[in-house]
Amino acid sequence: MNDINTLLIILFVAIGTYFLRFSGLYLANKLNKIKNVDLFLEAIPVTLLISLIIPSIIKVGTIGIIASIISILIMYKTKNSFFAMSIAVFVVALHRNGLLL
Amino acid sequence: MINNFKYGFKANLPISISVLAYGIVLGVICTSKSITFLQLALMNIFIFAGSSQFVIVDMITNPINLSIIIGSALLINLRYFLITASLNDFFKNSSINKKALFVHFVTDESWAVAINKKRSDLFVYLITAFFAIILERNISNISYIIVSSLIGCYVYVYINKKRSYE
Repeated sequence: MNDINTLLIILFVAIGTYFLRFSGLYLANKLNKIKNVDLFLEAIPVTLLISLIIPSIIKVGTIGIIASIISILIMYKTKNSFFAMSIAVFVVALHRNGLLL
Repeated sequence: MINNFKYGFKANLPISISVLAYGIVLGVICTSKSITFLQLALMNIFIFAGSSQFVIVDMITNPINLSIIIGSALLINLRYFLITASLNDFFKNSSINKKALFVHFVTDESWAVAINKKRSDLFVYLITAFFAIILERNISNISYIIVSSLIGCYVYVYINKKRSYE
């Protein structure tokens, strides 16, 4: 393994990622002045959250969908994200060990 | 100020469990790819984006193809363009220097929690999340050394025991 190559990868990816982060914030500020762009910007968080979360849930399978529904219900009732997440993880763990369904 | 730090740390606690878990997995993969702890720590601090770090570590083989690894990692990190674009409201009245400094601390986890809370003190919040996640990742990377050395010890004792029976 070449150490310099690894360091070069870290350097270039770090610069690129920083550039992407900064340009998003910088350009959003500029684009804001154009009409109707704010509608698009407002929709980003929900769209991104769904696109990040839904594939992971489907990847786990039926038990993933069941666990996420349980998690949503607990979150709705108790408003405690830590508890809701723990229960969902526990349900998936039980299923993987053959103790459920 | 201290209360804000406390609040940021508390809000990120549920997410830190998953960070700890994938930090350990990343550490274990790194041992098989002979990536040193220092290189991993540099990655954690300067790239600070979980999924692309996994891709980098996965793709590092002998010989290394630099352009493909860098290209793939940046392709995955393209989402940060949209993520920081959505944070524009928080940074409305900030100077360009402040934006340039704090934008590095934005990550999937802290962004998801921050956008939910809609706090005005986002700067303190993101900084706290950054330190919490960095701490968590580095701790989990240290723990892989402990776990792998424990496994090593066990295998050594087991083999020696078997030999003594023979």
